[in-house]
Amino acid sequence: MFVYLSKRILQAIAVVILSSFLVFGVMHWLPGDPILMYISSDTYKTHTQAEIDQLRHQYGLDRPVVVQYVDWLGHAVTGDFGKSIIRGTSVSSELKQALPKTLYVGLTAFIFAHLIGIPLGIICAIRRGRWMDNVITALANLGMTVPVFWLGIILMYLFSLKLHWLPVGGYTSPFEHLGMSLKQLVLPAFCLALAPLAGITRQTRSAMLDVIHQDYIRTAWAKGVAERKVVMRHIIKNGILPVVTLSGMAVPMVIGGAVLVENVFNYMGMGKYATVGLFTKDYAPVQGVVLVVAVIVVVCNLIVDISYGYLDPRVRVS
Amino acid sequence: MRLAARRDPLVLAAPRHMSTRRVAVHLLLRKGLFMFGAVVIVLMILMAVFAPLLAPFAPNATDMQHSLARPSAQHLLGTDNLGRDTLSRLIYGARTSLIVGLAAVAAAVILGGILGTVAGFIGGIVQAVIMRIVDMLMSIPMLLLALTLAAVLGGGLKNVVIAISISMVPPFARLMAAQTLTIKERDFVSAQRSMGAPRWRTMLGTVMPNAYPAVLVFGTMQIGAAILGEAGLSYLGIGIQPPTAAWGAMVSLGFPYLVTHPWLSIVPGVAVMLVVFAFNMVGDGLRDVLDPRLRGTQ
Repeated sequence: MFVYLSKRILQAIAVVILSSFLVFGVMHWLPGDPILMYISSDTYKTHTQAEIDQLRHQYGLDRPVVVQYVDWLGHAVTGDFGKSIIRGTSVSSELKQALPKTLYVGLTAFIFAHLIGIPLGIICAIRRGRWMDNVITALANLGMTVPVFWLGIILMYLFSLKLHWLPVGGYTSPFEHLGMSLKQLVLPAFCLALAPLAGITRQTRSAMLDVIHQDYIRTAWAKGVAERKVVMRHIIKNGILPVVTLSGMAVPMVIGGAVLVENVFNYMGMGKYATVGLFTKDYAPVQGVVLVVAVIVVVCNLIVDISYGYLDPRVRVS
Repeated sequence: MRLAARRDPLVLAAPRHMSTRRVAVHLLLRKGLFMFGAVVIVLMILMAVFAPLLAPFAPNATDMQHSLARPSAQHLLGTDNLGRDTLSRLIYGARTSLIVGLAAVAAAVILGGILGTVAGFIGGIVQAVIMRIVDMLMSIPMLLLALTLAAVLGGGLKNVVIAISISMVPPFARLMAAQTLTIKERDFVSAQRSMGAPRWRTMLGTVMPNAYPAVLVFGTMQIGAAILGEAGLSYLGIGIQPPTAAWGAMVSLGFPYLVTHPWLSIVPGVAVMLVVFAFNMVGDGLRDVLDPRLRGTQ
């Protein structure tokens, strides 16, 4: 187990470094030039070519991409993600502001998706072919097709603009004003949760159905084990494994959705922060976000792998 | 009647303990959804192909005197802020969505298919390198990766297709690698190898055709995902560039007029949902028909 674990951790680190290099390389092939973007934002002053070169040198953008990358990674390891060229602000301190906001809404969505999705899937499997199964499955199929940004707009129209029940968007710290914070959380969290919720419901349903037809379940029923016990101890415990896989996949799903949802609700988390950076060709914020996101995704995959070993003893042996 | 029904693969896929009538209802529902999806897709393709004949107005023709018109006999879905006919733009938007969906998935199938087959068939260091590249791409959420690529490449139809297809390569590569590993162990592959067939011919002529049911099912569903991705990019303004009609961009264009003209945002979103739902249902149906063993893998 220890050898397996350390091998997986080394692999994970390699993947994070590779993906950060990928984005670093891609960003530096951007057709736009952040220096020119920066200059055009400054209307009071015209710059000579020498000044432009000076700025480029100041930000180290005249060096080869690989050198810039190694330099950036060295600083990133110590928690310094560089400076935004457009605003001149520290990316690390901006990320420190944005990350908790995305975690707040993302974790809420993630937990909500599981709390609702797993029981719904189990109900569907146990009541297979009956009206409840048909209705839930149909809703789950529909839930996977909704464009999140559109759903956000529709919900905002209904609950904020028409009914005036909820604020239009934004973010308030839960430590500052809990009520307002939760009100602002409801719609974005629901939008983010919907796709993983639908996926988890479907996955739980099919995973449980695979188990329900096993001989040992029939045996359990035949010897008169109580329904509660059959479901809890035999069906769920044996069928939960594929759901864990999907939980791991739900993490990038939620983060990807956050990019759109945060823009709809004007919620200054990582997603909106990255989008703003992309629009202004500002390298450092985008690279910072991608590195943090890649670490989160890879760590979650690692947790999924490890919990596989915990849930399925056969994995531990091989 | 019973015998004829038994030969239907959908019947074989139905659970044993159901009564005949319940099986029938179950199948009708499943088939109904499949048929619904197929009809929607065919209609969508016809709409995209014959857009110039169907659209009452040119999609980019502005008419500032009639901007933000409410639905009327002349403009069934009203006009947008530039006075362009919403219905016409909706019809042309089907073109954009279908082209991006089909082209991006086709490219991802080819690229991912080759990577996955080579990785699974050759194994060893080649497999390790390919799978690490796949892991690398997978560690960045699909939408964030597509967004970054689209921003780098600069938007537009071709670049959106490239961005989305690259971000979709990993799942196809994984699927193909897993398929190849199982097919590789089958007797007909060893038979071919013992007869001295070159590896590329086994890969191309035997492994790939045998993996097609799984790829077809997954690919059909990914078309929906690609269309959703395109809509997201266009919504953010990094995807399809104006004035080309794209549903995602139409949603975002209608946003400022949400209170007075909610349909401007609502209608294109419903169109996206309808197409994505159709592709998912057809994928589900294909899975049941092509390979009952695949049920529950997604």
